[in-house]
Parts: sequence; structure tokens; C-alpha cells
Amino acid sequence: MQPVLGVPMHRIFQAFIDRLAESVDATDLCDGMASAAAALDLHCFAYLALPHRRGDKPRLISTYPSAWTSHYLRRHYERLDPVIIQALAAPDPFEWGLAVYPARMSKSQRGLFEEASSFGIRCGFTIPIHDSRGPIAAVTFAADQRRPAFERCIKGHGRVLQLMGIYFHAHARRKLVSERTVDGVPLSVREFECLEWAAQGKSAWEIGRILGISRRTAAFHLDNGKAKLGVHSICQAVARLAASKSIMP
Amino acid sequence: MMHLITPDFYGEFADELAEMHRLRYRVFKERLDWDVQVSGDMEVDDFDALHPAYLLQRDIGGRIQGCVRLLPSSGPTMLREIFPVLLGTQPAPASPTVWESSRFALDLAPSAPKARSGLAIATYELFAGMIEFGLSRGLIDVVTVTDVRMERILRRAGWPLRRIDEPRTLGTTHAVAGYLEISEDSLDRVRSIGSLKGPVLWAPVRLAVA
Repeated sequence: MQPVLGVPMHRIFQAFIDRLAESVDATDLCDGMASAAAALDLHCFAYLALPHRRGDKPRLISTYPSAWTSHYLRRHYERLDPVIIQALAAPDPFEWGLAVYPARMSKSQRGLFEEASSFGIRCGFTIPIHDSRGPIAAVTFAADQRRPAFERCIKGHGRVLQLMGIYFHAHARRKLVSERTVDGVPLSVREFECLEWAAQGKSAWEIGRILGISRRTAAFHLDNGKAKLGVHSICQAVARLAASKSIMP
Repeated sequence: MMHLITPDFYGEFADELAEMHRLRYRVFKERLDWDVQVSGDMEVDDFDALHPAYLLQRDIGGRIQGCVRLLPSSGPTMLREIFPVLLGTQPAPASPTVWESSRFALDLAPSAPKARSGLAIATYELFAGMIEFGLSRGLIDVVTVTDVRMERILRRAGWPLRRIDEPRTLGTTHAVAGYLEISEDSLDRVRSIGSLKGPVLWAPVRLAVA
């Protein structure tokens, strides 16, 4: 691996990993990624995780200039941004920038890129993460350099950048996703959802239909929930759920 | 040859880790079509954020063709968090002498050499590597969630799984949790059946100077 700015890539990666290990919140994670990005001469980064449930807010951890982010959100550029559109469509990492696909962009999309340039965001490399249901998150490294220098960075370090992206995502999920606790017992999001529907009298088959999973998978989540709560029946699990909810503020 | 990568060496072996995630994609996404998180041609899950030890198996040409992930049972484990349903009435292990193995994967070329017993030599190397690792850490058992197909392979290889409870159907797999004994006896059996000549596990001893 070729050194960039005199610091070998393996040392940048190790420092990044060590910082992630010690991070406890979004600020720590952000600082860890920002340091690594700076060491690679990448201007800024953004991590966007889609919400688990419709209606919840997405999680954004980013060093993008806040003036740009507020402007972007106010104008709802996420509906127009070709980077978002591509990250949602396929899990493959890709480069972007005004010079990358000018022919395929609409006038308003080109306008978006030109505005971004004025905030120091000229080109970037996006690492989407998908599961079998679809897109769940994306990590983007952006640069204000002209293309050749950026190209060298991506060509030389693309694989390790991708590794950094997926490890950042794994840490964000591990450390930041709020689990659903019942009586102090952490249940996964799915286990909690299935239990909530069971509390409304839904069968495993019906829960499967509601959540878009098989009956067997819904039953599996219900069984896991019962096992974690140390109860034998759905009735008991639902009673525990109701009790814990009445205590919560 | 087996290669151990611990968190202190993730930087030195970042390329190898990337190869490992690509191997996992080929096995768990392409071949088994599991519901896993992917990015490009790499697979990752939340347990990779716990800084596991990874064992990589390489062929004669150095290509990574096998891997397994190891986590202490005293921390979060897949058995406790994802598959407690496989425990029955037993508690999940939580002990410094028991580690959990997961994401066990082999992607072998059809020409990969086989031992006389019929299984690929790489399979025995991966098992022997796990036992050697366990012995080096003073472990008595490795706990794992696996499927009944792999359970048969483990028995053939001389490293039988001690079931915790009955298998359950999860998605397309018949999953079962159990213990694999870490002992000199287990190592001898696997080496003998796999015709392995000596130790398989290699690890760097010198930390890169900061």
C-alpha cells in the first residue's frame, strides 16, 4: 500500500480501528472517521443510516459543512441527488462528481453539484450498504480536490476505504441503535415488533404478512423474545411488555 | 496454512481482511443466499464491530479460501443475541475459557486437495487452526451455531459437536448450537484424520512500531 502524506495506509487504518473500538457515541465515531479521512486528504465524510421504521428519522453522522447540510435538507435535495438515488438502487461502491456523469444528469441535478462545489464538495466516493430487504445505509467520502488527486486516492485505497465504510457502519449499528428493552432485557427491533403485534392478538402468520416476513421467521422472533424474557408463553411475554410500558415515562 | 489476525494487526492485514469479507460475500450471499448486510462484493455484520480474532485459511498460492470469526463468550455472542432459541433450557456460556466461532466459510476450487477421508484438506486445516488457537488461549471449548450438514462434517473430521439442544429450522437452514472441545486429543484426531503433518496456525509476533 502506497503511503499518502507520508503516513502508511495500514497505520491510518489501525488508528481508525483503535478509535472505533473506544468510541461510545456518535461524536466519538465521527471524530474517528474524520481523522482517518483527513489523513487521506479527504475533505469530509457523511454516514447516513435509513430508519428501521417508516416515519422515523434517518441517522446522519457527518463532517459536511452544516451550512450545506441545512440548505440541502431545506430544499429536499435528497429527492433529486443522483448520489442518493444510486446508493439506494444498488450496493456497489461508486465515484461521483460533476466530471463523472455529466451527460446523464438533469439540469437541476447539475445545479445541485455546482452548489455543492461552492461548499467544497466537488467529488466523492460512496459506499452503500444493503441487506436483502434493500438499502440500509451509505458512507460517503467527499473531496474538494480536482479529480486527478482524488482518483489516485480511490485507486490506491478503494478497498480499504470500503472496509472502513463497512466497519464504521457495523460500529454505528452496534453502539447507536436503540434496542427495545422490556424490563431491562434488550430485545432486537424485530423481536420487539413481533411481540407488539402479538399483544394486539395477531398470529405469527398475520405478523409475517404485516412485516413482510415468513410465518416461520415471525415465530422464530417470538420464540427468541420469549427465551430472552425467560417466559414460556406469548401471554406471559405480552404481560411483561405491557408492564414495562406502563413504567416507562 | 492458517493465518491469525487479532485486532492489533487489523492495520497490517487490511488487505487480507478485505479479502475475507469478499470470501464471506461469495459464501453467505451468493452461495447460501442468507439475509446478510453487503456492500459491493463484501459481507459484514454487527459482530465484526466487536473486534474479533479472525482465522484465515490460504491455499498453496496464498489465496484466501477459508475463514472463521472468534469472539469471547464473556462478551456479546450470536448465540445469546440472535439465536437464544437454540439454547433450550440451557444458559448461554459466558466464560473466559469458551469462545464463540461464527461466519465459518470455505470457498474451495474443485481441484483443492482432499485427504484420504474425503474432505478437503483445507477443512481440516481450519478445524486444526481453531483448536491450536484455543489451546494457545487456554480455552476448553468453542461454542457455535451451525447447521446439521456442518455437524456431520465435524463428526467425520474427528471433531464432533456436543449439542446444547435439538436443531431448529431457521429460514432455509436446520440450525443447531453446540460445543467443540479444545484439547490435545481433539487436535491429534483432526490432524490424524486430515493427514496434517504439524502445526497449521501462524501469527505475527512483532507489533508494528507506531
